[in-house]
Amino acid sequence: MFDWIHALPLWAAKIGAILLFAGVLATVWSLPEDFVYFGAPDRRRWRDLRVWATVLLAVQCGIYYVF
Amino acid sequence: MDNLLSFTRTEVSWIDLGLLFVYFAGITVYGYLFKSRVHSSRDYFLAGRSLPWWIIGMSIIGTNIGSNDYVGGAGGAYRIGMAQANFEWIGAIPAMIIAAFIFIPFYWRAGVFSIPEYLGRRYSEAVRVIAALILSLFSVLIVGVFLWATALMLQTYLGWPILLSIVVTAGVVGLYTVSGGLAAVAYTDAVQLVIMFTGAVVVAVIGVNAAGGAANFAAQLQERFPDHLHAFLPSTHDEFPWPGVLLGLGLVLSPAYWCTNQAIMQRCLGARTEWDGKASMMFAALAKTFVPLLIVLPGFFALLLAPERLGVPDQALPWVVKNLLPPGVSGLLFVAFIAALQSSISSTLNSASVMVTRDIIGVIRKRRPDDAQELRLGRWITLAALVVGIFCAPLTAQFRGIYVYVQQLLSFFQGPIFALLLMGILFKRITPKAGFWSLLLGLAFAAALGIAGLNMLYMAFWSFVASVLLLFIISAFTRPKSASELEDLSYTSVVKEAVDV
Repeated sequence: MFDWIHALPLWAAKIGAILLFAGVLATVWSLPEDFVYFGAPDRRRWRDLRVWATVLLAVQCGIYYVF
Repeated sequence: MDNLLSFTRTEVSWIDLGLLFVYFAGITVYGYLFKSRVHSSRDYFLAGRSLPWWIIGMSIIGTNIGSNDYVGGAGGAYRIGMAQANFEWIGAIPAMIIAAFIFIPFYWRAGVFSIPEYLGRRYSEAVRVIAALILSLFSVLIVGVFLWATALMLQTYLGWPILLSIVVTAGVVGLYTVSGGLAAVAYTDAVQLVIMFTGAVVVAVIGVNAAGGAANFAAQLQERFPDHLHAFLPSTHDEFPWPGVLLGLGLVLSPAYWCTNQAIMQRCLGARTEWDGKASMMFAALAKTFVPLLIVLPGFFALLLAPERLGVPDQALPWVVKNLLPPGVSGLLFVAFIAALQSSISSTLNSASVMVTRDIIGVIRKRRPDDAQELRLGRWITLAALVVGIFCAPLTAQFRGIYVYVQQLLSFFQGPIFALLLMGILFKRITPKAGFWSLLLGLAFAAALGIAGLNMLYMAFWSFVASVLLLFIISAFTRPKSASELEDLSYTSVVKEAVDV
């Protein structure tokens, strides 16, 4: 079923992983700011969950780049 | 499951026993105190929608981590190295972020108590009942597995009889779960998570010191076991080929688990605001990032420090406990194991109760019970689920590798249910009839793939793809719900409302 993938080198997996993280990040940043803050008691920068997502995904990119 | 039996120490110190006693007494009293907060079914099932993001985040990870993660995670790291961490990283973090931004706002704003209830509102009551039946059946089965695992550990570590161990565990968890509901579960989960992380950090520090310090530890791994430092395994690998990890785990199984698991999502539905619900999952993702360090490291310690190769990889953690940990610390780790299991049991019981009470009995009964009756019924169902779990627990011994078996069974229905949720949220054109038939046919297709012997990662992926295709094909020939019926249930309506406000 996935025979054609077997021919790909292992680094293709790393690229696939980083593309997945980039896709999630792009999705998150495409959301309106009002939607992200909806329900928050104030609009302080630390409550911007897109920033949280960016930090989390940057760590993941680093991990999969190294390993 | 058998690997837990090897967790025997030659003697148990009074410090270890004291820690265990303090834990059992403390968690029971602390959990029971939440009984006074419960006055309605909303208080019981959703903690009165009062939970802050940090408590929910800790509770999510407490529910997520079981003893199998400790023992199996260390064993996996010993056997295949860093690739074991894929379940915690690529197999969790992206899906948790998607759950936070895409799924939680819909569930929270719809005001539902459960995932099947959301499916019922989006599609039909038939879809709701089928989904609730599948999910609650597995919940009760898993409670039995967790009870058996805890009993085995108490038996092997303390010498308690199995039956007594099951009854004590069920008694402690049952007391606060039946009486205090979700608030008791979430707050005790948070305490249990602190215990788990403390135990794991202490083990990590002792292990790294035994290996000659952090620099020496890393250098030795690099020199002696370079293959263990790759996150991805070749595409020809039997268990975890990288295409399966990316497509099956990363794109289907992981989002299906993190976006549709009732035990995980229920505490998010109890968030005090929508932002708290979203933030809780992000906070849980932060904690999840560090979980591999805690469960993978012991496997590496055994790899470097054991004088000879271990016969069974899952012996890695028991080897570390027996050979590296002093009295007191081993007791702390044992308490962490018990805490991990109890948090999973309480969360699963609570989620099974809400689904049986509201999504099965509540739908099938013609006359809806009032709130006081529903609260009473919820407590009885929780107790009943615990009792059924107690009777199911010994059955676990009849199946070798039941835990893996349960994971494989989960992959039968996660693809179709995830397809219904994702497409239902994203596309208003998806119809109720398409939801019903795609669920049934998707389950049948997954079963056929499983019988054909397909790897569970690929099975989840293809059953998801088949369900998505069926949803669109059947929707083309059937009538969708009106825009007013889909208010607060679709992506465009929820985002638009937030922007308008």
